[in-house]
Amino acid sequence: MAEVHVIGELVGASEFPSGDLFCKWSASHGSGWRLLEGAREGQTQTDHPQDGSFSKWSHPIDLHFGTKGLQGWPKLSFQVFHEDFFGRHELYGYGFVTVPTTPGIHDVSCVTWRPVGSHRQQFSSFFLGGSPELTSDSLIHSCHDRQHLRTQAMGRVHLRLMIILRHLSHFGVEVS
Amino acid sequence: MEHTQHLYRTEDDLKNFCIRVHLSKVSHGGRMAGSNTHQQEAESYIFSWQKKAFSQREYEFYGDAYNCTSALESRYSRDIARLRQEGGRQNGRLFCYIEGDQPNIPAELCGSPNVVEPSQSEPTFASRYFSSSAIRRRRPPRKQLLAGVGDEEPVLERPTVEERLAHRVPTPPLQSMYIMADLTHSVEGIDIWEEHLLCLIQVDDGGAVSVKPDFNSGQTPYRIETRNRDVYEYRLHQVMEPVPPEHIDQEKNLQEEIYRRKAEQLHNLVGTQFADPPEGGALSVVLLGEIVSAQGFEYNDIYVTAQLQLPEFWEVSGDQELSVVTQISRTKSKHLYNVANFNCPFEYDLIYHNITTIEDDLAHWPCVLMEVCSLDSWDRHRVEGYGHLPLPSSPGVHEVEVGTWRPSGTPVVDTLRRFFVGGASRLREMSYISKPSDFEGRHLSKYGFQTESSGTVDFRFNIIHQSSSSVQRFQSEQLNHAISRHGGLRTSLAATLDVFQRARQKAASVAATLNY
Repeated sequence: MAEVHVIGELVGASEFPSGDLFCKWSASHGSGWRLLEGAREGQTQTDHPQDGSFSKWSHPIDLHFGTKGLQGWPKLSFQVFHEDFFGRHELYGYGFVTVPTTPGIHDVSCVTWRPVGSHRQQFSSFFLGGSPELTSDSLIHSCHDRQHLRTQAMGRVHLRLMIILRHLSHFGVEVS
Repeated sequence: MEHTQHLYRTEDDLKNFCIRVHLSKVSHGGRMAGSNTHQQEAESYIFSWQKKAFSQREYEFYGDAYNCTSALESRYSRDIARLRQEGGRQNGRLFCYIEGDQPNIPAELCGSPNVVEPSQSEPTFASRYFSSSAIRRRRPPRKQLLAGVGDEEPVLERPTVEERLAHRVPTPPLQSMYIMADLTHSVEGIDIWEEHLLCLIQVDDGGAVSVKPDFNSGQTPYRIETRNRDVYEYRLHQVMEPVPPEHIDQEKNLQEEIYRRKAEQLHNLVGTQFADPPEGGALSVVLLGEIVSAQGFEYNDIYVTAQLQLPEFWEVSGDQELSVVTQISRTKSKHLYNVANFNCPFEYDLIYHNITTIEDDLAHWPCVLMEVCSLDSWDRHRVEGYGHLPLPSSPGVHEVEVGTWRPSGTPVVDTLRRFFVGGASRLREMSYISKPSDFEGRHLSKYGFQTESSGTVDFRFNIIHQSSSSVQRFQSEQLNHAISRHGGLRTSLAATLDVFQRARQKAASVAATLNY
């Protein structure tokens, strides 16, 4: 019966090797949760920063969840892509954040990574572009099979989220 | 064309728009009309928005089906056939052109009355404006602007206010309606056709209704003069009925009903179920952790193995593995350090069974042990650091930076061995990081053990607690809140209830220990 509102924006991205980035985001949650209102996923525009390397998206996020339990607290996962001069898309990073559990305004930053291929693949992507990608997006926010993965550190995705919780305290839930 | 126009805004449907026009003849060929004729020549008609009223000429023209070609004209033909059955048209001289008609209105007939009779009452702004416009029109007409016509001036050197406005703002699509008077008169048996525009009503997309000239009920009537010097006066009355209050109420109720149903639907979707807190006074801890990143380590391609250590009375729900291994991350340089990003979830549902002693025994809180290793291009693993982190005991969001160390042997030999051979010294047992598993003494001394400080690992935790004692606390808070609203009762009743609550909690805790 408890409800969680997540209102905010996908502010932008920094520390990536170059600008011209766009981001695909989606929300995932456990089986006890239900998305009552709002769009579960979205995609930002491609932003070309004029100075510096901070791509600004200011993409709105507005989600309203209902839940029957605490398990499976919602997460937001991100896939950042780079669009180059020829219009090709290259994966620049995967990342996720857990929706903050305390009510209020949160400035959250999410570090990202991307898979590294073999030497041959790295050689070809140096000249031809392209990058290895995950077969399943669920790996972004799970810890299974991570030890077999070789990755590279990429930049950060910045979010500003406003959290409103409702009725959680009725059931003895303490969040702060 | 210069007119005064008045703009109105409406949120109502335009089909409710009504205008009553009262036209009367005041003089006949320069002579004042007698009272009898005045009565006869006066006419009043109510026009609705885009509802056609035919003039005599149109009535005859469209009455013949052979003249009607377009869809609109055929509709007019059918309308006239119906009117004939009902006994002719209701209006006399007054009629209108609606959207779709192509009124051929000469500019000099457009709207403005030619004469304004001096009157006892103060002339209105509209009448003054009209009189001045009447004077202005006696000047030679300004050259009309037509694009593409040879010797016409393409540049407007002194645009008027209206022209300026019309050029600056985007012109929204308009719907127009022309209210006309058919002032055809006969001179020596020959009918001279003459139509005058009485009022032009235009509505744009934004719901702005422009009426020119403006309504003038209760003010000086507008005058028009025909070619044979007959003078007519007319008034424009706004006769829209105000929305009755019961309709306003009805609409308000309807909106409330819609809102209520929507809220109800949402409420049904949410349901009333929620997982109960664990039984027997246990504390449920939902740990939503994340191994964020690591920085400041010596070698590249590093990974973190984190292990959750659960003391006595703690258990993890489900068959979750207590250790997590991150991916192997290549670092990037940021400021002075090399940073590896992991973004690896570290999530557990924990239950603490002995909540009654929670205040006395904080040592029994879980902790995280971790080992940071690096992997080189020959697939050799070398230890980069060990760290230890007690889980934050309060619910909320926590960002923690954990410092690490690694055992060092002989200074130079160890460094060379790490570089050339890999491996290097590592702990035999992970538990040595915090408290060795076989340790039973009172003082933990690690003196004699040489280490070297290494990089740091960032963690982020979202922690939620749930317990039945929180439910009780919430209920008593609600009760206190309710009491505090009634100030007079406060001292005595609040004190009594406080004592009662404390007694109840004590009883509950005793019962819980007995059960256990």
